[in-house]
Amino acid sequence: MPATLGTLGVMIALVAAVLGLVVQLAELRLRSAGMAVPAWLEGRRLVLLVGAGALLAVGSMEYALVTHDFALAYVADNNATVTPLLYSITGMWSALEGSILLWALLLTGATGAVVVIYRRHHADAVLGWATAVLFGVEAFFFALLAGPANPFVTTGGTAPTQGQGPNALLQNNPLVAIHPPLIYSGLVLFSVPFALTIGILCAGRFDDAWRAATRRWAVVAWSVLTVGIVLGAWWSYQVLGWGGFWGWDPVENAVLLPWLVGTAYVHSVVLEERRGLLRVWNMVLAIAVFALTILATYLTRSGVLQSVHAFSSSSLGSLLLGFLALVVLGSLGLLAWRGDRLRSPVGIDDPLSREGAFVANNVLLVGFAAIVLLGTVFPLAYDAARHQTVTVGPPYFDTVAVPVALCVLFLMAIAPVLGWRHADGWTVWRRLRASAWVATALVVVLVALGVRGVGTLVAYALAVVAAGTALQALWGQLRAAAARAEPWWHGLTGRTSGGMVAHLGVVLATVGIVSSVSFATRAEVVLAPGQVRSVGGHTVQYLAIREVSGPVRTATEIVVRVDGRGLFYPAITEFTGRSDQLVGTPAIDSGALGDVYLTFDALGQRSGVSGSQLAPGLKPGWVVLGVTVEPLLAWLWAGGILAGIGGLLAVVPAARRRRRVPVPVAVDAVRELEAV
Amino acid sequence: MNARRLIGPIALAIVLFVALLVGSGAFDAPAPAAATRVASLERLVRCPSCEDLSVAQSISNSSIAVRHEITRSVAAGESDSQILDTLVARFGPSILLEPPPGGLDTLLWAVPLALGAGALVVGAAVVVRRRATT
Amino acid sequence: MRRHSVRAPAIAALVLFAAFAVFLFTRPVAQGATSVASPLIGTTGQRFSTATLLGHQIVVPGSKGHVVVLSFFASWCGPCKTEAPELATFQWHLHTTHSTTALLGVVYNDSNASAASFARTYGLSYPVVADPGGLIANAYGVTGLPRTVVVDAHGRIAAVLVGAVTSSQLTAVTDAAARQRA
Repeated sequence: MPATLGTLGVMIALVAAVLGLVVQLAELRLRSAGMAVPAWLEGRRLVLLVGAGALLAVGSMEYALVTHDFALAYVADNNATVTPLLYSITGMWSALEGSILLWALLLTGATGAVVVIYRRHHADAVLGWATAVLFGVEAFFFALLAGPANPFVTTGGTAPTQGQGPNALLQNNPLVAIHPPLIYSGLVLFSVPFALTIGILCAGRFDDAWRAATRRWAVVAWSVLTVGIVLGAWWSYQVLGWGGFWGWDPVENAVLLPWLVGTAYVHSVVLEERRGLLRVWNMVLAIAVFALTILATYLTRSGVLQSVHAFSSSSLGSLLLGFLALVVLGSLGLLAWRGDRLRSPVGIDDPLSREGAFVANNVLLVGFAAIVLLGTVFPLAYDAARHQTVTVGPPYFDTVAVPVALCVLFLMAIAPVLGWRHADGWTVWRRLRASAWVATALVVVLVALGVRGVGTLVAYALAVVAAGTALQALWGQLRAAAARAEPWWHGLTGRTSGGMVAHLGVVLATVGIVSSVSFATRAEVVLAPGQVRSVGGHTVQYLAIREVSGPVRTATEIVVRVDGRGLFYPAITEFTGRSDQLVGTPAIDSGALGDVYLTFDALGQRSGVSGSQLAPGLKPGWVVLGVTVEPLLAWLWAGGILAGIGGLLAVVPAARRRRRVPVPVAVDAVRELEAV
Repeated sequence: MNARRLIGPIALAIVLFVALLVGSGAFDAPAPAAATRVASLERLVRCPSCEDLSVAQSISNSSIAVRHEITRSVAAGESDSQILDTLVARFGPSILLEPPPGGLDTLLWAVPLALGAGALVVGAAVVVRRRATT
Repeated sequence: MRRHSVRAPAIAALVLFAAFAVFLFTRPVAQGATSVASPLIGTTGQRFSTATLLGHQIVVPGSKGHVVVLSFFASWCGPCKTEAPELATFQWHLHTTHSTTALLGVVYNDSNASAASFARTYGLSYPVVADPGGLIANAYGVTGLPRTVVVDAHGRIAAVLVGAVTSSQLTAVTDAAARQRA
């Protein structure tokens, strides 16, 4: 039953999306010929039908998962009768087909939002083209669901009575309910700026109102993606058991690429908004972010790069690559055709100015994205040339990322105090003086305390200056709000304040990363029952070992007391139905000042084990406990979330402008201007 | 330009420079103990049974076997490159988290350097030209 | 200031991207077991004395003079389940043809008890050896499962297969290794 309904849903959505594309194009043609379009021939109405189909498909899938209907192969592979409700629901995105279904649903939602929010402008050519593009993208994803990534394949014959259950790593932490949907939402939301950009290019009319709308969608998408990535890092920190949060894995890089270019984009649009600069470049970035999300899907889902969490499928790869080629070729063709007409009339006056800093930021972020892409696909090139497999891992990416990150921090520290058009050295120094001296004092104190490492020290110094700059700017905004006799929080909204809040978030995250990486202490301690050991200034005591068994999981837990206070239970867990996967479940004593990360690494036992013993001759009942002390790591999560909040604050119109009519209404005014 | 205005920035630069010079560890006693050598080697070697984790990070049995081997080889007085070469001869170059030097890996380093140098040159050229015209 | 047209950069980007896409499109996707150009090929395989799961003391890869197939596996490895029936078939084929080629299972990162139950489940009748300390796996450069190493009659490593093998594939590889002797 869910199989039939689900397939029906996909088919309805696919047909409606294709129809929507056709009708929308017909509508555009009629309108450009100056003819009236009857209400029934408006493509946007089909968004409802696509939405209904998508909801039917997702509803069927969730119903099948929640009711453990193993007639569906996808359910049998990712669910078991004992799987709790939460992980039954999240089961939808624990494998390839379901992830694409979620993607399609979110895309339908984004399209619906565009159509509803701009309903008064439905006759506008830019929106018309954008809607057509969104229909096209929807049609592609539903076609994938109808073909190579069909989630509604049945097991055939009599349905199995028990399924495998979700992958052990995906039923070990509730964050899995949050971060994949957020990351997908962020990526999907970037298709709206792309669609609007294509709309502007097709309509061949530079339109400030639509450019403003494009920018706002991009900032929202960036915020959601940022929070999603940070929560994803938090999830891997809590689940994967090696005490780190980022491994430069192809799947991680695949999400980082659109984020990096998206970050460049949300910065360079400020230049367009303030000074009308870099219009074509911004269009290129909007297109690039979307193309990179498709490339990311291709790299991680086609099996071309094998990775820990890549689940591969056969013909999917060529379809994704074909779609990517269509997107890039089409967009670049449009740019080459229309680009010159839409260019900004002005250039940058002086490179030593706020504008120059924004351009430098773009060069750094886009350049770094290019390097990450190079590193990610390098093993393919090496294999093609030498027929040898090589790995490009953390040593490479870290080496390249550190200087780039320091340069970005430097820009973050000085850009907000640089003047527009021209920067005067003395003014900049006056504005930076206080925080620069605080930073220097901090460096002196740290060096006196014995901290070594130029990179670490410079990162701290720049973080202090960047925080000082951001706080100064925020303070100015708050005082301005007070001067206007508005509530204080009006000083926190708008582009400037939101941007500075986001900067503060990035500074916090940077301090978290630098501290936890530079000052981490790692140790593996052998403990007899009751024994106390000290690692990195914390004491751990091994109290007991116990078996915990329930319908879902069976775990061997050890009870550890940290610093004589709290009890923690690092475990080795086995999930029912996935008896082949034993996973370590770390326990984390997390605090604002630092984390103590505990893993249960080995247990002394009599039975033989093939593979090496961590501690040869470990006595029965003794354990090997992995202890990692990571100072200030929690700042990373807090900072990432703060950056996301900052992005959203930037979209809320600044107080003094709030009473005005929202921007898209200005469309007609612009058109009249053009007609003159 | 008022010379007095330069005092602040110059003073800051000097203090910062001295602090960073000391902080770079250049004046500390060099202590490449066996333990630090083992640790740095472990970070370069991929865990044989997982992807993109170093043996230092992974607690899988195969990583532990490699860690033990690195510790033994360091104690036996082998050089870093000897140890890595032995591992490459057994597991292939993919055991290293960076492609082996000499050959295509140059590309991996040349591209970032070229991008950086290119950006600097273009930036400097633009600054010089603007200064000349104004 | 002279302003350049966006057309030339757009076309340059197009060409660059097209080359990249063609490169990606022509990449083969790894499927099934592939014979890899391991640096170990041609070198003499290290010898170990170890116990089978049934407690017999044997030497791996075995006495010289015949081809030995070392199949590294674990009960937690999915593709090992795919290849297990094929290995059983191969063993049956060796038995019926009175071949001198020997097939040996080597437990990789697994408890011996689970590995023994795996062997029972799939009816693996060939000897399976324990690998305490992971020394055998380490010496044969095992970086993932399933991994199959073929050692020729001179004790040299003749082939390394990555991924789930099939019986016919093993037959072809071992026949080639046996011909080396002639």
